[in-house]
Amino acid sequence: MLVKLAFGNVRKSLSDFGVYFVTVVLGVAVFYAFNSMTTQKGVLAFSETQENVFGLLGYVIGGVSAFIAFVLVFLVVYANRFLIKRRKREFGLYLLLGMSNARVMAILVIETLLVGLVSLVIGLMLGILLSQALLYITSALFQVDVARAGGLAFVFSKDAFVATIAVFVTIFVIAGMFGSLTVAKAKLIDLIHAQAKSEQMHLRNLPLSLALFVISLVIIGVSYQLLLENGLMEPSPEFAAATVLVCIGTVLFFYSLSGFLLRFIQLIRPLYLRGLNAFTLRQMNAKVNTTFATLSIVCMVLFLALTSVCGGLGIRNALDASLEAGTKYSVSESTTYASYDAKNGYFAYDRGPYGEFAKKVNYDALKGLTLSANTINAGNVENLVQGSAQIDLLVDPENPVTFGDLEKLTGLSLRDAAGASISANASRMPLSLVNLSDINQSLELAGEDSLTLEKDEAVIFCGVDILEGFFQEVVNQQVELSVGNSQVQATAVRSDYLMTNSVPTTTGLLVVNDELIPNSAQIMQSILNIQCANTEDEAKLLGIIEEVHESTNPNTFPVDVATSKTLTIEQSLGLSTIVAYLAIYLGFVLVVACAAILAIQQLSEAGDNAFRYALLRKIGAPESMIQGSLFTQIAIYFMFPLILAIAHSACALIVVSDVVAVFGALDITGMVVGCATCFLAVYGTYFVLTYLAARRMAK
Amino acid sequence: MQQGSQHALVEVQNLSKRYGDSRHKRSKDQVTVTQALDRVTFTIEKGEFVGIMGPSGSGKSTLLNCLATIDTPTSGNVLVAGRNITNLSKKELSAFRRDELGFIFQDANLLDTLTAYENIALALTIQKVKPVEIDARVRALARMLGITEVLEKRPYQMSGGQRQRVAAARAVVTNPQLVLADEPTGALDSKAAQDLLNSLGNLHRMGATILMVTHDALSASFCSRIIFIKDGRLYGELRRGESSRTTFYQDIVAIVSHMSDSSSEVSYVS
Repeated sequence: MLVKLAFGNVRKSLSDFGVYFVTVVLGVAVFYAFNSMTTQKGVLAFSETQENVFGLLGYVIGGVSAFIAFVLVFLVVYANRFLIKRRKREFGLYLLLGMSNARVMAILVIETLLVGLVSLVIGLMLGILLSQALLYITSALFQVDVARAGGLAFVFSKDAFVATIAVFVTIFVIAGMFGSLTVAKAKLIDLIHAQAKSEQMHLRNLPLSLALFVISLVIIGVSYQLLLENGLMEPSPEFAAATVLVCIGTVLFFYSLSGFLLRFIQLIRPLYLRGLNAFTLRQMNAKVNTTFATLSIVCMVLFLALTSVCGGLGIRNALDASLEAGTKYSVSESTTYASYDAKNGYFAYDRGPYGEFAKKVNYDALKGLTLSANTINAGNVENLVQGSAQIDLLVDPENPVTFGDLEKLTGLSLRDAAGASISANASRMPLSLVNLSDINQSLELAGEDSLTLEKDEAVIFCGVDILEGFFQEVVNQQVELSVGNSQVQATAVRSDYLMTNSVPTTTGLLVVNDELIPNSAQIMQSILNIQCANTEDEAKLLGIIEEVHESTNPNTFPVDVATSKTLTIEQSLGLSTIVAYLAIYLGFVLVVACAAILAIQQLSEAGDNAFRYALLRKIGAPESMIQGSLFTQIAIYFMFPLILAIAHSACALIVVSDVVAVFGALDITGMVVGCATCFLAVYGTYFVLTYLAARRMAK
Repeated sequence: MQQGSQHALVEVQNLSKRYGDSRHKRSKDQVTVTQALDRVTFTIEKGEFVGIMGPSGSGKSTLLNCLATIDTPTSGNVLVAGRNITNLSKKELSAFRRDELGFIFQDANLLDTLTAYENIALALTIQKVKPVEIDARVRALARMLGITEVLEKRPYQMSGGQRQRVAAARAVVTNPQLVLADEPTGALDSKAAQDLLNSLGNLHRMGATILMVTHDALSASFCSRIIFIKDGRLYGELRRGESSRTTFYQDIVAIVSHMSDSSSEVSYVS
């Protein structure tokens, strides 16, 4: 009997359940799809590195899913509360008819589970389709074929399936319990008169709203400026102030928005006195006390979602773009012998017996590695090497060329030129000196043209985007730099990668003719680039170098960093894909959450206002006019948080792109456009659903 | 009776309304049909102030709802300015309500989010009247009904009488063919009721045609003619003619008490 009643109830208020249903279906689908990602390992022809990276992805998604489960619990409980509020009278009637509290609660729980079950089944089916789509996206992103199944594969994760069901059944039980509690706690009189209660009216000062609106815009503007000027590299008081101000500004914006719109349109008399415009504006203004908090929260969460998605995908794009430039050599090895710090200037590292060994082979890395490999029986290096070149990064401790010198000579500030993410100590750091012949050997090894320099000329190598402008100015101003006893002028800035690496590491090298390098120059770091005949040799060589690195034999060469082309590509793609996936996963759920909250709020308002629309109808307002008023109200509620969130995100991304520029140019296109379209489609679907349901409710 | 008059504004012909028709076939044998209106026929001339009286359950609200096109009769016709309004489409209905009718409800039914001015103006903005004209019409009417000082106030800041006069203003601001008032004094104290009825009297003298449903004899005595309804049938009617309001009031009280005393059907025609 109870089941029949519950089933009938759900069927009757199907339109009320619409938003709830869509939210749960989307939640289930996304939850399953992302949690099932680790099973892709089974069908994609991953290398070992990629498998590891993908294992990490599964691990991180598991963690994020816990957070997302919390968001979904909140959402479902919130949506359920709205449904119950709509039907308080009905429950009151059951109680009035003598049905016991327990039975009413049972009806509620059965209803929740019924809707939950249907949406869970549909959500899981959608999730399986989605995980299929993700499989092909992964294979494209990782540049891996769906090979193990001959190009076609069906992925199904039992673990994710069970986990999804477990999580959502828990969510439904919690939601059902909350719902029952609301009914159980409520007094019968309140349930029966639930409909009659309308919101307390507050008289609001309209000119004040106008002033508050302007103030909110000013506050937001100030926070943007603070953020743009100071960046977000280091936690500074300015950054904290910008964060606080943007929150205050947003809340104030939504608090005063409806008052401002009302006042503003009232000034345009012909517009105000047309159709139901006055009604629409008054209606929104009357509800501001209950809506501004929701709108502010929705706006900030949308902002988070947009920023994380655009930022995450942007980082991926930036990494991808730099990948080709960073993989010119099969294997690269680097060893650091000395460093420079702001307090002590130049200081050599104590590398113990390995340092002694390096000195013995005259810092020749290839020779050192070959001898070491022989010593520990790791293999023959020479057979694997087709060509090699070494670059030594030197510094003249007596008379270094520092960034501070360049600042003085050009009159530029490094912080102004390169942005706020530059460390305050950067001015004291020196530029490394490099022999022209070293650079040319590596360029030729990569199959590129070599450089020629006049006696008093120099070229600056800098792989970091944000410093390029600064160095370009050094070139443009033709400043004289002293190297040893000579004066040189920089003629060009180049951004080449000097070794195989996923991110550029050269912050500033001064390349000059070999004879200009003073005798007092000391070695800071050596970079060895090697080309191999094929990827097998490459892997073997890397293995040998790693053995040398790990060996405790004192007669071996010190190795700090060793990487190969294949490894760099796989790691870089893997990491950036993790970032991209996480950004999309989080962003999607947050957008769904925002849209659902807005939808539910608008629907409960439409329900509360049904009598007002009935009144409009009685005095002869045509249906089209009433629908127009509803549409305007809902559109404003959906549009303004989105617009403000986009503005916030744009500002944040300008700053983020400064930070990300360290890795390469932040490219917000392609995938971002695809994602944004997808998100907007979800948001738009909620908008349409809300409008249609509100229209039915207003009847 | 003036049935069939060519110039009557409202012609109600053989209007019947039954509730509980056996639409649900399953419970066919248990249907009890209620005859809310039984072949009611009368006319209202342009410029009349007609009261409809009858005890509770007499069918006067059903009659008003049929005239207001909120309810549809089971049989019979209602002609307003020669046009049959019982078979209009949904769109025509809302246009008819918007352009030809004005409503005054028992509980003002003002939109609580709007000021008095906006409530009155709303009736005009729905008709897409020019804003300049709206302002002039709202203010002129407000002066006449003595509500100028509350124009910028919200309904909850006004007295019940002021609210009802604002509702009256909203009902007549569009110059409708017919103003329908459903127990407009029902929720008012006697002073406020008096003010409202005087206002309605003023509107009547300016040419408005008003149909007021009431069970209060005092309110009814402001009308120019009373139609009595009992058990869904026309019980009779009473014209004020040249008699004073006090005399008219006593006549009404006599009929009302007779109507509730006896079950016999005696027609009173003045």
